[in-house]
Amino acid sequence: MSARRLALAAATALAAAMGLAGCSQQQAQAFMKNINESGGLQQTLKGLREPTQAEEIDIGRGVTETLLGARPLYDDPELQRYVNEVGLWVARQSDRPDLPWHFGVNDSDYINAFAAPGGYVIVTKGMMKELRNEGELAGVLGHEIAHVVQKHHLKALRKSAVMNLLGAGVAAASAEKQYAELVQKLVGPTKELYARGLDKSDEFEADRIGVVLCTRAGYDPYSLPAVLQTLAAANPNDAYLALLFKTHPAPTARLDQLAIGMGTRFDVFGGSPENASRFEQATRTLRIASR
Amino acid sequence: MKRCLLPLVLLVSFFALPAPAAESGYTIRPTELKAKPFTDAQTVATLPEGAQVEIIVRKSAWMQVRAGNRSDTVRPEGWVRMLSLRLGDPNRRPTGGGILAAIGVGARQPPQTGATVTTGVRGFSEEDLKQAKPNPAELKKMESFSASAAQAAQLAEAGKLAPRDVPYFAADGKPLEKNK
Repeated sequence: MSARRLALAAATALAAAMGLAGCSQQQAQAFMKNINESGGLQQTLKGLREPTQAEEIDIGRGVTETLLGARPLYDDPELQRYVNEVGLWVARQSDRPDLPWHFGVNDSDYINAFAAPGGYVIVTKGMMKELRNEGELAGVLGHEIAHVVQKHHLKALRKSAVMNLLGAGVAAASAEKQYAELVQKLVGPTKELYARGLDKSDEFEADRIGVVLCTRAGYDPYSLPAVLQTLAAANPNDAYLALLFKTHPAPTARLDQLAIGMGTRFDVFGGSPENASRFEQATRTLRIASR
Repeated sequence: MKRCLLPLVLLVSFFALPAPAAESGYTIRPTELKAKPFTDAQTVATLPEGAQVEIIVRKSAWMQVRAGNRSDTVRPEGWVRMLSLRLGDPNRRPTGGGILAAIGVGARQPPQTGATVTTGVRGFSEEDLKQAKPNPAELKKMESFSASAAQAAQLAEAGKLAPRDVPYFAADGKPLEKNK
């Protein structure tokens, strides 16, 4: 995207945000004119270069620190290593096979999974207990890996960082300072983004890519749909699913989208290994641990 | 001979355990019940939308089912596409305003959070997220469990997972060279 188009996009987004805040269009235009004349917008847009991979990983580490602050890891090193092996095998099939991928199971009974920029993926213990086999785990991880590969969270965080800078009328936001500042001030935006969720289109895209990565890794293409089918059967008022349901399209809508996208082209991969006994062995402590 | 007996007894008692309750489901659109799990297999019956089924076997894109419920005398068996089914009872559809779902029957209540009760709470609710403080030590721990590419490949080999060449696809199903 050119700087000019970015400027237009940012200005449009800001104007839209102000519109929501109750500003008139004239006020919004006057505000934008002011920023343009003071050079603030140009300065800020200079800082809009793509973050380097190192910066992306820094951002991801900051996000993950907060996610793990909400709930620490589940205490089973063997399970953590198993999930890392399955996760890395799936991630190796993606367009970013060489990121330093890290996977973790947290000690939460809530059913959910999260991705953070730079290759960080967390699955809750509650989600692990809903899964039937390794293929379904690969499906869930494939969806999260897709968010990282497509930089869905990174883009959303960057947008909010730029909006903050613009909103504050910051004139001297250098490119180097922007990401350093973003990492330092990440706790607030992280909580806001992970409570609000991504765009629905990002979630549908992650489902489609997740199915492909899972299939490329040798698992059944219908593993992720099987998980979504489990979630679709849950009571929508189930408190343990509240955050997942709030931040994602309804599981039935996701299944309908996959039915259209997958068609019958994935039927040829029937009979893929499920590795259910290995999965049961690796997750055995989850079934002993009390809720 | 006697040595062989104990495992045999264990094996027998394992299979003697009561089978877990069969999963049930219902069709979300008029659906052909096929004799075999193939699109061009013979059609046994056509199920209307909302038809109840008992799931016998899951097989990738297909599920082998027995149509109807226990009170039905004729219960045709066959295969339906898994994406034409939803799990659960058609009279208690979680979406579409089933009365039981609407009033929250069967919904698990959240564990108590906040200042009063904190022991035993294992949450990741929106509230837990809002109150979270960064935990750098836990991040280091997470990073310590990482796998190497060789370990991942070994897991794949032991699990008979062969990598495949599969293109990405668009929302309408068209194959994609690359995602944008």
